[in-house]
Amino acid sequence: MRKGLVADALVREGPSVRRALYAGLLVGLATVGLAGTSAWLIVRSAQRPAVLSLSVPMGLVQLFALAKAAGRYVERTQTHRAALGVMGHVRASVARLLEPLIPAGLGPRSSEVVDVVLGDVERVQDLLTAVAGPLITSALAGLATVVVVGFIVPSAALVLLAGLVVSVLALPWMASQWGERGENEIEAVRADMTSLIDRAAQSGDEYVMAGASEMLAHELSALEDRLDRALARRSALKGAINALSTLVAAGTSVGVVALTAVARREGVVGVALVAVPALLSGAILELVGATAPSIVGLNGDRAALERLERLRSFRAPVTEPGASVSLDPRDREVVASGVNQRFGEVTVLSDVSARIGAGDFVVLAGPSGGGKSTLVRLFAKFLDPDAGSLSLGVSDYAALSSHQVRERVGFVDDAPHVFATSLAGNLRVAKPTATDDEIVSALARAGLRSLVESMPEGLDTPLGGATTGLSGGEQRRLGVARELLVDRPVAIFDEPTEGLDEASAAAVMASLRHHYAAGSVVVISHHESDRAAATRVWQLSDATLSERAEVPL
Amino acid sequence: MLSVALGLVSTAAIIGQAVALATMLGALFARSNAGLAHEAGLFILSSLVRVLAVALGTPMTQRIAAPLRRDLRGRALERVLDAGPLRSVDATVQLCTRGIDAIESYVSTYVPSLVLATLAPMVLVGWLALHDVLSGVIVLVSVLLLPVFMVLLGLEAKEKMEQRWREQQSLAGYFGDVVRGMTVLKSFNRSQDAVANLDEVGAALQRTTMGTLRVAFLSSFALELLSSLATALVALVLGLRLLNGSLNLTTALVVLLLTPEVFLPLRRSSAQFHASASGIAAATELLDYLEPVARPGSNPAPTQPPSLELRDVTLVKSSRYQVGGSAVSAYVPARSLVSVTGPSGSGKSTLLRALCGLGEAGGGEILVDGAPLASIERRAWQRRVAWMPQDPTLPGDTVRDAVTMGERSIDDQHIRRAMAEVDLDLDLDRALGEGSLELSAGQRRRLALVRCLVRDPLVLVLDEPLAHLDSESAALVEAAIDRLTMTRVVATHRPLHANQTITLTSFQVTSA
Repeated sequence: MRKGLVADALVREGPSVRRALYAGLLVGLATVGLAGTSAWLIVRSAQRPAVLSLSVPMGLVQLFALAKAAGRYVERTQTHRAALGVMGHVRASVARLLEPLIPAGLGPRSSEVVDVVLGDVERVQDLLTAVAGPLITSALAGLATVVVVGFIVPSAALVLLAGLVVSVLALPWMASQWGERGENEIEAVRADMTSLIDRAAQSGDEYVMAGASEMLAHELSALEDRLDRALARRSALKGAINALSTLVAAGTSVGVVALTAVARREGVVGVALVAVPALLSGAILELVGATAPSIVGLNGDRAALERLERLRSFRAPVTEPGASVSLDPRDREVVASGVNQRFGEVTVLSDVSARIGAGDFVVLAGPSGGGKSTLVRLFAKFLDPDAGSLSLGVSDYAALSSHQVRERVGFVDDAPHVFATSLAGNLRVAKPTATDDEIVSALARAGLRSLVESMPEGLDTPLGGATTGLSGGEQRRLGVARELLVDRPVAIFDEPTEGLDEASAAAVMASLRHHYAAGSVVVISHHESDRAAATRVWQLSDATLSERAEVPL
Repeated sequence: MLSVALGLVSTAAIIGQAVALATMLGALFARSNAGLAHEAGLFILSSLVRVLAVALGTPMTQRIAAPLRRDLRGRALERVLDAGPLRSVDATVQLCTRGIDAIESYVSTYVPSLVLATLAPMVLVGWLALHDVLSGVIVLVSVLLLPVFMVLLGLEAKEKMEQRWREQQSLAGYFGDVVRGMTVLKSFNRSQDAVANLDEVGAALQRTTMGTLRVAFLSSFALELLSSLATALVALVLGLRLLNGSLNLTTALVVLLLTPEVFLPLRRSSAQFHASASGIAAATELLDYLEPVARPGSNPAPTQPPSLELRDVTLVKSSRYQVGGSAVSAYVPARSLVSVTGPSGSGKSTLLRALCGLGEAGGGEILVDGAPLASIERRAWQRRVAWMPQDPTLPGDTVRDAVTMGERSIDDQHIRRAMAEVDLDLDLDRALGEGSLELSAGQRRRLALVRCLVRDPLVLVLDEPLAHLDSESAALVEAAIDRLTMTRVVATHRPLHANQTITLTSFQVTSA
């Protein structure tokens, strides 16, 4: 991951990342310093010199002890601070990547994409706090130790270096090689489990009523079997890596002691220093060894990173112009000319031309799945046409940003999202400055007055999530109310009257007709009764748009 | 238990390593090579024992918690299906996946490490006290000071950790909310703001979490401080005693090597305590969620299409607000077709769900062939009733999967027959993505109807079966519903050829 989401985030969090690394290095050096000075102190004491000559090393021992404890505290807090910061940036970047792709560029599984993304971002934190940080800092402290030992017994320093290289490079590499398949399996099982629980939580009642709850339980049990096996393999591998790291530490200690013995016999090393190389090596290898097991999860973390990066390769369904023209105040009518749209093999729109002028109240009808939603997504510039063009007054859509198009063209989809906030908050999504009176009025015009009044906390009633408490019809009218709050010259409503009884539907249509007397409206509807409010009726079937002759009153 | 035993074996091996290493270093100091090979042998042997204990101990802890994880997740799934999600779908998915994994790792790593953290230091301090009383006392006093520190700091940390878990959930929720609501946000040109706001929310989370972590990590600071100060103090005292000749170097080195080892298991378990705090928080939440609901009835379900009776039924949708107006009473003869009408929000869907034994019961009583619905074993009743919700989902990869939902007894011929009844012609192997972009809304609805019909229900409960259908296919579906012979309850906005109609009134507001 040379350049990417996480690299960018690390750069943005640079100062705290660096502080965390410095603190980690401080801990490493203090640990080694404490081991080294106390080893020297004891052996030197055994030579029974004057007490006064030991006061400096005695002070140093205490200093290192304090520095180690304080450093560890700073390191832990700074590592978490850096990780939280990086995660915040990664989340924001991911949302920035997803923004142009929704609703038309992400495929139908956007809820799964969100779940995977959430999990992946979490793993970035693991990677930073549990793996990358400790490994880097212990490697740096290890190098410092090698230098110190090198001054005392050069050959022992080489053995220590070899031990560290094995611990810091070879063992992680082995862990990552051997662990790869298992980690992928764990990932796959967890993803399947998430989707299973998601299905159960979204439409559990349907499973229960279809007698399929047993099937779900069996499916879950099979996944748990796979997880058990994969986790058992992972912990066996962790055990092996732990054991190898213990073995390397022991071997290195033996080598260091042996070489110190040789040096001592040759008189190269002073007697007071005999214990220092061995104790230093022990301390640093212990520090390095503690990071070894966490490396087993590294592959999964890397896969998570790669998935996040892959979000960049999705093609945006809309191309924004490099330099956009400014909108003319008179640009209030939408014209489509010769528009073609395909999804894979299926032609959804074929040579569709249409014009929505001021005062037009269009009801768009046609068989389900016949391309109506696609056509209105084109109008709102959520999607660029494969061929043909659209324009807003005198400006071509291709020259306008989608932002500009949506200043004039409103769009309410057929299942408007209910945010996890209050009823008022859900409307202020459309217009943050709206007063309570404006909100109540918009809700009333959308036919939701009695809903507000039946809610115990009125506008402050919390909504959102699966326990939203809103019926499909209420949810759609909430979307209508949002649009009425902002009042754009052109407004498109995808099935606003679905799930409503005829009287309520007629009331909503009349309210829209009244509100948009001078504006332009497109309403998708199946209900023939809704056509009473229309000035024009469009029929979209077999990918072709036709205008119905029988225009109602 | 075995893993704790292996931990103790490993502790004994550490003592062996320390003795051997100290003896070798003592020999180096004295420039004597006598017994050096012997000590090196002891060192290697102890190391091998330690390696073996480590290699065997790590996998063992995992096996402890696997059955618990499996049991918890199974029960959580049952609960999700029975009582619907907790708070929100996202929160439920989080709790059942990552939450339960956190509980598992709490049990598999924290609990054994806690046991070892009490036993191993005791063994080591005991050994130290036997060989050098003074150092043993110094280390013992430091270790005994620890719990005092930990209790003082750890209790607060626990609450903070639970708070942090919730905060993280809410941030995850905000992120999900923004992404799921992106279409709405974009259509009001507010998506950029929301995405930019994500930066702020992240920064706010960083601030609040850091506040709590600074306190939470104090306990580990206390541990570090006691451990390194004890090492330093032991080193100083050893040095002074070596100076006046009251101690030999080898013993001093053994003590010096072993002192940090006393604190190591404690440090490990403390590091895992913080990692496992989320496990405790998840466990608390899960146990609340798994609280059993009212016992379902035990009477057998009917075997023929039954009659249904509503007696003063009032409807409650979620605990937030009441739906529907006055109480409903009606009698539905066996094998008849009844339509349920009423304005939006009058409780049609809620009534239909109540007939299926789903969701919260309001007031009044529903009778099946004269017996209260509540007295019938719920699952058995639900097997006799087919329900089509307003917005049916079609799980699985193919049309066939969507219909059978994993039920193998439903064969293709059966499905094709039901499809013909509702004028649907689809290849059973046709792929369905989630949300099935390619299937029209009307086709989806008819497919859901097929799913009901293939189960040969005694009671058919349909919520707006004609919505989303053009007039031609609506007429076909209507005719199919007419032809069926089980007891049928259909919520609809369009008039049906029903034997009778139950009309629900809207919730009346006093001011209206």
